[in-house]
Amino acid sequence: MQGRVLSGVLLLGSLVGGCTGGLDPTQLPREAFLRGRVIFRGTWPPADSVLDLRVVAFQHYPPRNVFEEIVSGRAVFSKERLPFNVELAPYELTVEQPPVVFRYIIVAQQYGPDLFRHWRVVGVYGRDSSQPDSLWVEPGEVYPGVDIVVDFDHLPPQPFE
Amino acid sequence: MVDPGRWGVHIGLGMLLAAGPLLAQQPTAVLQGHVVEAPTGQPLVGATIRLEGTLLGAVTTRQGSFLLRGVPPGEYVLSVSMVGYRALRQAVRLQPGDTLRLRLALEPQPVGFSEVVVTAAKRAQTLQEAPVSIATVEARAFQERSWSRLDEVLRTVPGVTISRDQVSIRGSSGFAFGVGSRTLLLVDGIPLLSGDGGELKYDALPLLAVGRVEILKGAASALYGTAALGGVIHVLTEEPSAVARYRFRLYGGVYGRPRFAEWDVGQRGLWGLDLGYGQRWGSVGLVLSGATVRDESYRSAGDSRRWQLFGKLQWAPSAASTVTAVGFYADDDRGNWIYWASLRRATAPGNPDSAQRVRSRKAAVATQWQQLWSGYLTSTLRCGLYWTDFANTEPGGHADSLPQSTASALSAEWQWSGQLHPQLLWTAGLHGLLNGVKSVLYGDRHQLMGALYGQLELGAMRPVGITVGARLDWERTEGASTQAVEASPRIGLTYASWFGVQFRATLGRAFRAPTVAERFAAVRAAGFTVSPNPELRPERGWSAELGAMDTLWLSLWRWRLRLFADLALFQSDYYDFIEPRFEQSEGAVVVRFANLTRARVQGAELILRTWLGPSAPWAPAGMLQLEGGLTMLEPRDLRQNDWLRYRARRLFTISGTLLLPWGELQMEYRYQSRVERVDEELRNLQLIRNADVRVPVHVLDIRATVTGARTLGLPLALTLNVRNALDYYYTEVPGTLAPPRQLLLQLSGEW
Repeated sequence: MQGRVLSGVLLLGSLVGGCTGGLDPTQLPREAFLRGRVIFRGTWPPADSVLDLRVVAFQHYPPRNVFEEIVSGRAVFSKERLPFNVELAPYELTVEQPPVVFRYIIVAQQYGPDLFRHWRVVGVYGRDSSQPDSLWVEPGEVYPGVDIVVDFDHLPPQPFE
Repeated sequence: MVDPGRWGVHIGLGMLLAAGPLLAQQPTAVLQGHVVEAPTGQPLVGATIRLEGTLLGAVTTRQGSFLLRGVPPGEYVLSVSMVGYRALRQAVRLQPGDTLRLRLALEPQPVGFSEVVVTAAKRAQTLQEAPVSIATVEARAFQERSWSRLDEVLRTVPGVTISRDQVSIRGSSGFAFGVGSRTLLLVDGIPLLSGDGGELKYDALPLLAVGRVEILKGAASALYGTAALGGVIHVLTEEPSAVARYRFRLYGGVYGRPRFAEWDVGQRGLWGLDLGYGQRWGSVGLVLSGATVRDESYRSAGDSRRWQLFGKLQWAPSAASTVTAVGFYADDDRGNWIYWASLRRATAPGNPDSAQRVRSRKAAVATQWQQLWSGYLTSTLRCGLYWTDFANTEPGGHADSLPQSTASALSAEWQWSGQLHPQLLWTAGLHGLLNGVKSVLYGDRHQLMGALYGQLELGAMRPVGITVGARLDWERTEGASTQAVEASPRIGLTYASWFGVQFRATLGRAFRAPTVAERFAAVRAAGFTVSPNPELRPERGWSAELGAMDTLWLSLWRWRLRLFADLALFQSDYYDFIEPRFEQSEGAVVVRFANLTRARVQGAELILRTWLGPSAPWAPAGMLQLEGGLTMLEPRDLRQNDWLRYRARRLFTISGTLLLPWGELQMEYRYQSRVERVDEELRNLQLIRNADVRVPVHVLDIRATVTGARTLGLPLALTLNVRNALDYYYTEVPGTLAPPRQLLLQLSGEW
């Protein structure tokens, strides 16, 4: 009887020792990174109308609202705010869940106190601001040179409501 | 500021002075006898005697004897129950002036099969009499497993899940950082939710102080008022034993090193010590216990040190009167872990204030006076004051500038129960609750609740039992825009069929008043900005259940098999569900509690238990106990037409205990399907990295106990516990890795 119990315990021990599973950090989709420079031209707007400045990458074009797209997971944004009153600002944008296609990558300016509505597009990734370039982002890849020109004197078309 | 302590004295005195005249006495009978163990004839101490359908009952003395005086003449069913023995029911007929003497023999049987519960009707009744689903966990089941917190106990109960500080019974709750529990916690009938956040504090009591835990599943506001929306957890503390009882538990062990190097924080361990003592001297009984736990944690900033003290003094000046005083204190100092840095760095904190430490203290004093005025009338007066305090303390001070909250919850209840007719019982009561909060998070606030409740039970009218009741609650919170009046009716039916199956049905309404924290939280902590919402209204719900249970006894030569099955179908509809939501306030994103949605949870639950094998001197009822529970849930957010957040749809537990000549082996497996949905905003707004990674839960615990009484003749037991033996990695809440494999050795003793 006791021999059987011991055999059972040993079998169980080997099963338990051999089992693995659950969360695995090595199985995460590898993050991708967009890197580039934001080149500022023209006259900077008054300080009280530049409350925030971010690079935002949207999966759909045209987006209707910066905040709604981010909350719904259809857009990602640079975690650090871009500096004000400079000519050049490097940035990095982390993409946690590639692969994904970004069809509209912009620099967005928060010009008023309402975080949900007071945003405008001040720069668009692409050769022509009315026809933005798309970017296919693969896991684990780094995409350098995603430069965006911001010309405060000639703002691009505004897609937001 | 109103002092809840002074209010408690006033309420208590008021209730005493309001005691009404007693009912007129009638010619009565006496019932007395002895309860013994069937195979040996040894007297059984502490067996519960009840006359079903009445308020009359007793507990056997050291000699196994009992005495019931003042029994109204009539026909009754006498029930005798005791943990570890098969319940006995016997018909008795009493004439005026009779003295009936009985000798009652109980057969041994596994723990957990014979259950007398007190939560469903605020009085003792058998499980079969209750029109709702109730699970019970006996002290022995958790004291051998090196557990130190109540949530570890609750995880083993079918249909119950834990999301950090939130208990979800059959999908009633999600995850809201512990604030606003939809499950009411009672300790000996007194509510134990913190006055500020309405939180359950699992670590308030040492587990050696706990005698039994009852879990009522479904709406229970008709008797208990606010917070009993999803159910009730009722902790019944240890009773003083007839002879001196000394107990200890010393355990220690290590966390397994994780398989992934990026999670490894070095070798960490935990240890704990519990001491307990209880004794009764004539009419006075005393229970004392204390515990300390030191946990180094398997993650950075997660370590904790905890002290707990508990005392209970019981005085029975007469056979009809008992006064009980209970007090406890717990002090916990821990790292301020809120969420991880990322899944890759799952054992490193990600909340910016993780360098702080949190000191959390809880204390309670409670008194209860039970008086049997006659065979027809009894009353219970309960008063309790529960004090909680937490403060985040940085090394080096500056505690005043950091989040802090002190709260008191004063509860006073006067319950009366009586018998209008041999087959008609009534229960009625008044209940008042005053929460006082002093906090940099919520301000200085008061919340006052008052209630009136009543219930009629046609319990003895077999085969059909009917319970009808309702409770009217009024709630007002200083600074809130509205005051609430809530009516919570309930109807329950039981039917003992001719073919043996016991059916039950219940329909009840329940509510939960918003807590001070949900209404007034104004804080920026752990990377979140929380904004107040004084407009918050109570959330409400209707809960319905149909259930059936049966027990089969099968004998084959020396083998005996007992199969218990319980099936429940249930549906809960919730209105004005309070959930945290992300919204704008003055141009910023804030978290605010709001009456957000309409929800429905439908489901089915099947529980099976069996005990089989040949009888032996060391296992009179058999060798193997198996118990399993399967809960299927459909938790829907009806407004968004989507799954409710943080709910698993399939829950499954199974445990097997093998009794051996030298001790026992136990395996317990717990499964939860992958949570369907979490707060997407946590990920998309980059508040918590990898907030939505989630997997099904597979947890296997193994225990081997060598019983000294059987091997060496010593009152000691040595237990090896392997928790999460599969070393399975999972989360219960976003950004928090659950404990990996742990190996613990426990030495316990009792004499």
